[in-house]
Amino acid sequence: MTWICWRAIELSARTQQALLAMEFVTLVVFAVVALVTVYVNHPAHSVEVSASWFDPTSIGFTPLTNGVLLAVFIYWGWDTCVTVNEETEDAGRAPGRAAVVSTLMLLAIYLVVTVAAQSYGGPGLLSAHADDIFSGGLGSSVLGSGLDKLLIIAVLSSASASTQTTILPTARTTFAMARAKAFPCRFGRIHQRFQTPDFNTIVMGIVSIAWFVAIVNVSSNVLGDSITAIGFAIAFYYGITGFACVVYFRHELFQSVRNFIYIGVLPFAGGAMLTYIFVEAIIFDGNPANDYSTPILGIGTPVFIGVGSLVLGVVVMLIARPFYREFFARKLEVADPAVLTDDYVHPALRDGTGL
Amino acid sequence: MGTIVVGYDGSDCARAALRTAVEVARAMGDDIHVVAAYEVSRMGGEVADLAAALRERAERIGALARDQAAGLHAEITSEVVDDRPHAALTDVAERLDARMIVVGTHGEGPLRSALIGSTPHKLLQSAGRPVLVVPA
Repeated sequence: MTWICWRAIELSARTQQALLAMEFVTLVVFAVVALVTVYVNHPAHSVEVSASWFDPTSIGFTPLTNGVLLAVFIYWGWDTCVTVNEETEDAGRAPGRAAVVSTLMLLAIYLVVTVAAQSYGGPGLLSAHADDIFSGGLGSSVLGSGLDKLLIIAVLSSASASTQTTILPTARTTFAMARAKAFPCRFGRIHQRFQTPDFNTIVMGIVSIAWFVAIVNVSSNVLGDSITAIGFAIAFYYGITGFACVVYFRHELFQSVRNFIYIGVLPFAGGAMLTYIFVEAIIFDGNPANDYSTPILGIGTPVFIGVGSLVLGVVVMLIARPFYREFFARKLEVADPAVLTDDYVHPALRDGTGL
Repeated sequence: MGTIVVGYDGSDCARAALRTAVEVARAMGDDIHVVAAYEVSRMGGEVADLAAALRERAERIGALARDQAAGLHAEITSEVVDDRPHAALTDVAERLDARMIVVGTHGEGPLRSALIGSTPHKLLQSAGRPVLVVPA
């Protein structure tokens, strides 16, 4: 995957499309077959879909918070669907539209597959095989032996797509940081022929592999906890993006009701919700009883890794301050009002077709 | 008198392509127009900085082409296009009603070209006019 990201922009995009298509088709086939079987053959333990499944108020407060926390994690990376879905002709509007379409598609997939699995197997089967529901009998009994291997393809293609979308954005982010003079300038280099930030891509690939190998060798429980820990990072940066939006557009907030709602109230509410979940999660995961692995220094491992890495980031930033004076001397900036107009295209992307 | 459009990315094979283009242009009495194209992939986010860096780079490449041409005692014009190279070359050649398009090749095999995307291969299908492919 590192090689693909480094070597070819075009191949990266095509790989991502192919992987997502495989995953999408497999899951839709699974869901449709499962639902049709439930209503036609009524297999043992199956339950018909009921409206109460969709009522968040019926489950109580703590399960709801935990559910939202899990949801933050499973929606992480939806922005990749945005880039894959993005049309190329209309650089001004397409990204926004693609974002909405992707989110809805993702929601539909999660909803339909979850409903199908729950309806086919009943709640008992789902909780008995919470770790791996597809191989826990559901796959082969829905699709029949042989075809159930398709579900493995869905899981594998999803994992590969995620791997790719871990390397690409981190390479891009460090590239942008290097250009803003907040990171070593070595990271601001583009490969002469492949036109990709090659150094960043390779470094990120190596770091990911090293981290994974190290963690797996410690124990698979620590792996589980570090996945939970990612939730903290996600809640943190999605949350801070919401607040940053309000601050960045502060001069435009009160220009119209529309502005106030779309760049004020909604992003702030999103930020506030994620902050709340962040705190709830620290309380829940900080309790060592909820860990997969042994707590570190009496703190739950996910909190140790998740919050610990954020704290480490602050320390590194403080150390970096004297070395990147120009960047840290920047004043709080204000958005260009033109950004909010319908036809706005970023200057760097103007008169271009993108992807 | 016509125009010869040259695809240029600063690599050895692009330099070879420009050398050949200068020879052909002399024989024909044609003008040379160099295109430095770059593609900004939306995948991976944080597009703006990459796009700006790629544009700056393409402008430097255009300057490199003018330097090389000056060394060959030829005068050229150049432009930077934000598009996939084969599409950019096809469009510019169409606009100028060029006699031909000259590009260099890294000499990639058919499988590699199909997977990774080779500009000369795509150009042969999209150009709609003569294409001259020059190895490094």
